[in-house]
Amino acid sequence: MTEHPGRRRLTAAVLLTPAAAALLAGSLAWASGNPPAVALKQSAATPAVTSSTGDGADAELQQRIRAVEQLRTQVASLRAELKKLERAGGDSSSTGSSSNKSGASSGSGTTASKPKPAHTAAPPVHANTGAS
Amino acid sequence: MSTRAAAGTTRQQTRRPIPAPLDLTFSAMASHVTLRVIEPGPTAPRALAAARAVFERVEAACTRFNPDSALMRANGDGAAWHRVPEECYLAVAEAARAHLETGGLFDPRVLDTLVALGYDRTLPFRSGAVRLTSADGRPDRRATGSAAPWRPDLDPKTLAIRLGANRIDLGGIGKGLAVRLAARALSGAGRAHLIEAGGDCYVDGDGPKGEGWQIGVEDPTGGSQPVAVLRIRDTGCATSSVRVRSWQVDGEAVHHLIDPRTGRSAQGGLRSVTVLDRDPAFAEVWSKALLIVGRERIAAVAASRELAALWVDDSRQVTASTKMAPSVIWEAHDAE
Repeated sequence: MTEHPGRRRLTAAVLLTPAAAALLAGSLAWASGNPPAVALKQSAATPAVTSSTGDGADAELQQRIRAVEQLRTQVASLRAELKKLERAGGDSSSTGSSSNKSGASSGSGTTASKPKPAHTAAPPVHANTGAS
Repeated sequence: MSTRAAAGTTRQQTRRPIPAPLDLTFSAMASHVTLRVIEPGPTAPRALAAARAVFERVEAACTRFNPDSALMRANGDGAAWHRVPEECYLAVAEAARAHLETGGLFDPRVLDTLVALGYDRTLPFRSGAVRLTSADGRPDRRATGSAAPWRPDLDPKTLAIRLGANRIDLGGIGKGLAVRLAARALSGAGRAHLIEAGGDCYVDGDGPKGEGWQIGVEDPTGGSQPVAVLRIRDTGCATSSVRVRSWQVDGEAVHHLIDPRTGRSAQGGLRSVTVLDRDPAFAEVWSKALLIVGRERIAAVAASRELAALWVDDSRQVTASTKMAPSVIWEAHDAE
């Protein structure tokens, strides 16, 4: 009855990815309205000073650039995770039907179970049992 | 190099080829019968002939369509003792046991009801719709449900029977018994064997590929695809269904599975029931009894009796009991 851990990760990744992408897009929009060349230059020239001297606007700019970089990395990582889980999800759904079947077989022993309908053609049979 | 190659050739030459399966098909007891032995041994042809002879003996002794059969002679005078062939004696004894075990749901005293419905001879069920009218000269359609338990008299020493007031039909249980006896005849004839006789089967061993026997459960509504596929070994498998032996009398749809509580064709909302058991006669009895039980109670009865059962209801919904579920490897959509 509990949710499969892989499926839980997949759900989290699916939910997080659009949020992270939206945040990234917002940050990029903001960054495009502020000249990055200055910031980068300052950052490259006096990295220690920027963080310690405290020109307010520059510091905020640096912070946002770092946030954008972090988000970009996070989005890439989440996308990779998503792809991995999608592959694993495909595998686990095919084994899922068999685990459902075995789950049905190890039921309470007092109730009937309705096996999952199959979408595939019937496997070959050696004989049929029909009307007696 | 040449030595290894030579040795390899020698090994190949001495390896015994796997013999092809041996099949025997014939008609008996209103069914097409197939016997198959996988990797047959030297005794297989003799065993197959013995298994076929079993069907012929059971049919000859238990048929209701021959007035000279042992069964019909005993039916003809229920107050007298009749010495009968062993197959007939066994079938009556099994029927009595089944009547007790199923609480009366299995009741062979339905012969007069079947005759009243016009099923007093082999009807051409497989040639299309069968329609009968009272004008055909059929007897009147009395319901012959009997509340009193059935207790035939049996004398195992002389193989004699006394049936009492009601005539009986041994069709279903006779075939289950024939499958049981034929399975014994085929024991040891090969690595595995299969007996298939209409709704009654027995599978021995691991099947042709060592993975079990795959048996399709026919669609009781007439579809060409099975409704389920079972993978089984060393078990009997019987299906009771209204697919084939259904007909019309004066426009009313009837079938051969008579509910002894009402004396009419069972109307419990089920189209077919399949039961697994090591004894094919037991499987046959319970497949019929569960169909009569009906859709509302079948799950509870199958669970309480620990029966491996699979059933298809009027809406084509397929359901398996807990004990059957491990054997179901494929199932079609229901209600398609």
